[in-house]
Order: sequence, then C-alpha cells, then structure tokens
Amino acid sequence: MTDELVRIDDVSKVHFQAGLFRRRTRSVVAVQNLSLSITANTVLGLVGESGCGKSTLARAVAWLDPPTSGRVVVAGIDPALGDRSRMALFRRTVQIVFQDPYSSLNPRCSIGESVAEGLRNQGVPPDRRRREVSRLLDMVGISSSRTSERPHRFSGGQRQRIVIARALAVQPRFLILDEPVSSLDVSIQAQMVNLLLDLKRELSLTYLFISHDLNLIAYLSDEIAVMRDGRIIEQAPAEQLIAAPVHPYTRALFADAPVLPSPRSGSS
Amino acid sequence: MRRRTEIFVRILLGVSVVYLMGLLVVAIAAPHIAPTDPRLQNIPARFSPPGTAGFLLGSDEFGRDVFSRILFGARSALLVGGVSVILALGIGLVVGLTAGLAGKAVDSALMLLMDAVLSFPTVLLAITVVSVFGYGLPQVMTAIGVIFSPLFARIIRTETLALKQEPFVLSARALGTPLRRIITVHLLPNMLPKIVVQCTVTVALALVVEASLSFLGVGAQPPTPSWGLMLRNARNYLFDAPWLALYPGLAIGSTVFCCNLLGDLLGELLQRDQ
Repeated sequence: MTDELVRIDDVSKVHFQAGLFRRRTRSVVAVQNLSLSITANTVLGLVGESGCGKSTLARAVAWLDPPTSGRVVVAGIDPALGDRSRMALFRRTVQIVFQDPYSSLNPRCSIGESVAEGLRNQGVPPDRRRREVSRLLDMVGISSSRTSERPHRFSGGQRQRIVIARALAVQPRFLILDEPVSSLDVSIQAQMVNLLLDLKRELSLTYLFISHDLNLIAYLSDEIAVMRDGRIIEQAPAEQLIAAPVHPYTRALFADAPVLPSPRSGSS
Repeated sequence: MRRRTEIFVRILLGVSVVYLMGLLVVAIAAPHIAPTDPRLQNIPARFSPPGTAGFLLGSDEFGRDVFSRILFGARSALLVGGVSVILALGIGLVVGLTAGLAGKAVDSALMLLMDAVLSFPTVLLAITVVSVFGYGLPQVMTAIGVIFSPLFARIIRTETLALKQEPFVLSARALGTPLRRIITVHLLPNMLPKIVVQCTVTVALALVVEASLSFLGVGAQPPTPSWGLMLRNARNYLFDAPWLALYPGLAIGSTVFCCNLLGDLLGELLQRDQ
C-alpha cells in the first residue's frame, strides 16, 4: 500500500513576462519549491483557492508546461531526461483531464476520432482502434453507436465522459484531474465522481484530484494536500486532516465550507 | 425584422457568390464566349460607341472590342487575385505557425519583420519590387503575395497562440500526438473560417493593387487584356469616349465589391455559428 507512484520533488514554476527582445521584465512565481508524493492506487486531493497555482502545478506535472526547476518522476519515468522513447512512455503513463468539457474536445473531430487519438499515436491498426473505442465509450457510459457524432451533440457531462475515455485509451496509471466536475451540474457531479471512483478501482489508477470544493475532496480523497500561494502548507491522510487540521489556513478553509459529509470510508 | 435582415444578408451572399462564380466561368471560357479576339485591331471602326453592330460595349482607340477585352481581362484579374493570395497564404502559414509555436524570441523577430513589410505603402512597395525584378504579371503576383503575407501571418499567429492553450490541444500533446498532426488536425481546421474570410478580402485588395500597377504601367503589359491597363489607355479619351473608362471601372468595382461583401458576410455567418 505504500508503493510510491508519483514523486514531485522541489518543483517551481516561474512565469516570465518577457519584454521586447526577450528582456525579462517581471516574473511571477506560480509554484514554489513544491514537493508531493502520491501512493499507487490512491487519490490525492489537492485543495486551494483559485489562483494558488493548482492548475499550473497540474500542467507542470503533466509536462505540458514543464517546471522551471525541480523533478517529476512517475512510475520511475523522469520526462526531463527527454529522449523520445522515455517521453512516449511518460505520455502513456500520465494523462490529464481539464475543467472545461466544452473546449476539451476538438469541435472538428468526431468523438470516435478524439478517443482514438492516443491509440493512433501508438500505431494501433484501424480495426482494433474501432473496437477499442467502442469498449472505452461503453466503459464511461456513452453509447458506442454515437462514435461518428461531433462533440456539439453531447452535454457537458457526456463530453467529460468522452474526455475520460480518451485519456484512458492509452492505459495510463496516473490521472491528473484538474477540477474535472466543477463546471458540471451538481446532479451530474455525483455521477461523474462515482464513475471516476469505479474506474480507479477497476483499472487500479492513481489520481491527483484538484478541486476547490472541500466536500468533494473530502468524499473521494485518501490523502489531502492544502495549497496556498504556490506551496503545500499541509498534507495528511483525509480523516486526520478533516478531523484535526493543524495549519490555521486549513482550519479557516474548512470552517468556511458549508456542509461536510463523513469521509469516504463512512459513505460506502 | 430580424428575419428580414437575415433574408437580405442571404440574398446578398447569393448575389456575390453567383457573380464571382460567373466571373470564374467567364475567365475560363473567355475564348468561347468573346465575340472577337481581344487583340484584333479594326482601325476604321475605332471609337465606336457602345451598341454599334459588332461592338456591344464599344471599341477603343485601335478598334478593339471592349466587351471581348473585359471578358479576357477577367482572366488576368482572377489569375493575379488567386495566385497572389495563395502565395500570401503560403508565406503567412509558415510565418504565422512558426511565430505562434516557436517561442517568444522567434515570435518577436518574425512579427517585427511582418510589421516592417506592412509599414510600407502597398503600391509603392509593389512598384519598387516590380522595378527591380521587371514589369509583368508574374512579378506583380509575387510582389502582391509577399506584401499581403503579413495579413495572413498575423491572423494565423493569433489563432495559433489562442488554440495551443485550448484544453483539446493540450490533451492531444498529453497523448503524445506529433506536432505535424496537431497542426493539421487540431490547429488548421479550427482557424479555417478566419483564413477563408481573409482570403476573400485579400483577393479584393490584390485586384485593386493589380489594377493600380497596370494603370501605372508597371503591371500587365500591352497588348495583354487587363482592366487596369484598359483604364490607363482610356484616360486620354475620357471626354470623347467615356465608355472606355466606364466598363473596366465597373468590372473592377463590382468584382472588388463582391469579394468584400462575400468576406464580410462569410465572417458574420461563421462567427454566428460559433
């Protein structure tokens, strides 16, 4: 149970505002010397108010906007070492789901093409790709007869399911979920969260679940990290952190939250 | 009310599409439609007014049929419009995509270059280029293509910068999609509407520049039938034979008008779709 899958080591991300001819005029530190470790098959919930650097961290860990300094190692793969095959392996191991399901799918591609993208990149032949796409869509509860339809025919919740199917197509082990349900209706949120928990169990996935919604984080996290101004100010197992937050900011955060259900162990 | 403007917009769109398609047909089929050879001189019948037997739109100072010359003039107009815009689009694609994807230093340098090209007065720059490389339509097309490429480069760069931050492009990168496929599948199709609109507007601009250059004598060379060149010759006989200026002027005006109209309406329609 204590197998470490993800190691984020002393990661910083600085945004430079370049002037004309690249003179560095101002810089903003979005993530500062942040370290985290995530155990395999668990959910690490990351909470923090908007603007604290959660999404920047997500993109840095996914190596879409690599960190200015520090290391990210997932399942023993360090993308900074930068050779092609290692990068391809990292891309297959780590996937990311964004907040806005409306801009997460290319409006010009059918959902089948979108879900098949990762498989195509791996050189999977078309007929196997088709079968795989049907299976993946079934898994997230989208009728596989709709593969040739464009994303605009689907609701926000359905699109987010398609996005998850696309991410799962490459059989990742680690999924970064950057506010994946925040833009959905409350009634759909619960379905999505349960789908995510089911998928995690079935496929033995590990999640970094980013949210500003404390109830949600409390419901599905095994461990919770609280982020503020680019740093982790407190990290502890979920029950412990909710029952006895140590840091005054955490206490204030939880005191402001409207209703807290019992943590995950109690609800299942 | 809204319904009525909608119908009006669609009618205008239809008219400009029909006009431009017609022009294309005329340009291709000119030798079959034109009553006479546009270069055929008929000195005894020079300056025949419009309506004279054999000269629907009159004849010019050499007795050449104005109608036939207008029809053949559509060829050089569309050739120049088409080729120069394709060239401008090609340069704009390379520069715009590179600037949008390569990072800040390359971006600044390329956009500075594009701004430099744009800062010259268009016709002056075209005259300079043509004077250096020689007169004639191929040089004119190249010059216009280069001069208008910043219009495309800017749009494509802006779209690239915006699209590459879109979650679906980020997701494609996270899935390991190669850059070439990201460009052809995720970037270009999503900026296509804006590019199409820019193309139609630029064709109009190119037509005006071509006519100006031919009018100034550095574009199409006699006896090539070209609307700009016809205007150039007509200026000596403005009061005695006004039809010599009227019909090529109308041809240029209506074509440019339809291109602009098409561009504006397409832009509006595509924006509404989004």
